[in-house]
Amino acid sequence: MNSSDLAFLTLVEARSLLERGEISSVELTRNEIDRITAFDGRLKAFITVLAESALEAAAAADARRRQGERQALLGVPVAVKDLFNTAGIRTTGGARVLADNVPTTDATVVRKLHDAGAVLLGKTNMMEFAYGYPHPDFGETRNPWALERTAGGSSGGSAAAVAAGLAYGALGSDTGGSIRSPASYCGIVGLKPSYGRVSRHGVLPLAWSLDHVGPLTRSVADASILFDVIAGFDVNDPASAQVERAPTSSSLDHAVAGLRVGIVDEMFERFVRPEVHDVAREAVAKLGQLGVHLESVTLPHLDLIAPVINPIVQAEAASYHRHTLEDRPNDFSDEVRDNLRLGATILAIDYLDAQRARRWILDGVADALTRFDVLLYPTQPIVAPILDSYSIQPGATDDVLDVEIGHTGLANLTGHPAVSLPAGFTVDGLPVGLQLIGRMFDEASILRLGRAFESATNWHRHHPALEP
Amino acid sequence: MNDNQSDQETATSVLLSSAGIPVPATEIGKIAQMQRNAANARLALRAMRLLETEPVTSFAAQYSEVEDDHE
Repeated sequence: MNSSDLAFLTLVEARSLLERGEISSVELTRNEIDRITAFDGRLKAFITVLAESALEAAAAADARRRQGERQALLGVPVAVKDLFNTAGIRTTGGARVLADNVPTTDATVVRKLHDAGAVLLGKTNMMEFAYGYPHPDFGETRNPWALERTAGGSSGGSAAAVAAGLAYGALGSDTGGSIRSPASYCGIVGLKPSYGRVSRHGVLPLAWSLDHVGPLTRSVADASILFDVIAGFDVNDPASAQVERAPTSSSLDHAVAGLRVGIVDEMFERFVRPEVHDVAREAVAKLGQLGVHLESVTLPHLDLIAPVINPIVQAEAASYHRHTLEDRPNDFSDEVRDNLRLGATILAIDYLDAQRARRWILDGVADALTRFDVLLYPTQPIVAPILDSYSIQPGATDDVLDVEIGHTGLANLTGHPAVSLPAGFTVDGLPVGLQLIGRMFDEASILRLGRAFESATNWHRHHPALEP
Repeated sequence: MNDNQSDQETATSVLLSSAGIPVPATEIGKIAQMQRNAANARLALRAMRLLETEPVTSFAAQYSEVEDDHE
């Protein structure tokens, strides 16, 4: 097996090789570090690469396996977005403000990765404080499928690393689509779990009433494994939910025939570019061949997603960064500083009205999910934008961030679990994502349907051709 | 700059100042413009008139639908 074949194994396949003793964690880890060295100069997927400590952890994992240990991720190299606290390892949030920030403890999810035996390869690049714009000190992560395009945000580094075969999985965060959007643009799987299902303790917030943590992977089965490792109640996260569920991996291969899937037709039209529409509709047809029951569904107030989510993000982010904005305004990028200042001008009544209107949107989705097991529409209406472009096509006035959040922000407002699946490619070879939204705390159903879809299509087996 | 713009920029400056966030005078115009755009974007929400909706006491209203048939 050559370096590329090894790197593009799914996490499940790499773990199987480890379990059968056909490869060591040191070999897997060294291959990933060699690829990061070769490719990341152009991709900018990583802020910090932990080559030395990763190889030490890999050697320790190999020793533990020889002693009979069998944790879920023992010896598997993964990465985490650079907003998860890592004890003794710099955690920047993609921001100059935190350039020298070295936490003393791990975020809960990082501790869970360590407990499961994972090898931490490094901390991935991201938009500054997860707020839609890269800080010039770190630059923007490029899309492995088209280097002149963005990997998306804000978890673009995690998405690019996984898509480019620089990690077997990664963690990201999602406030308005920051896991699902880059997953869609990079042709991988991105899971935003239910609100409260995965701890945010030790994770830099953007907007706490919308923030979620979840995995980005090259297959649905991989996402299931990572999700099962990181999910669970945490007394240290005030929004953590005390919900017990069977591991999603236990039902991943159950039959999908008979599942009721609601197709949100409006979201196949709203700002959707023709090339995305065609791919998404083909994906729906493929789902129909799996024996699921497809039916159109109308959700109310979809036009309000951006007007509702934006003031919530703006106000909560401004509150969190208020004192840094007072003390070190020039250490922010211009774009993030301006948006934080804007957030400080949001009136209390506008924030509260947005939270009240959020209930309408939640009620509409919850009502639909009494009749359907899963809702479906394209993750994003567009393909990965060209770097530094602010409109969805030349000459258009629609703001890219508003268009993006208008699609993915729905599941942040309602808290329902949502996954983006690789759904195919445009004629230009750019990935398109399909989003499945499930009932609260029912990650299992969307992963099960996603698994059936990817087994039938194999889009997840397509990988970008990279040159050093 | 017309009077309306001037008034708007003064209002923006007062808001930021009251929040303890210093903004140089040369940058107030940009923030005031962003504030106008954001207010315009929220007009659709204001037009819905929230008067008859029940007040929300928690962001996490989704907890009410925890149970399903996977238990």
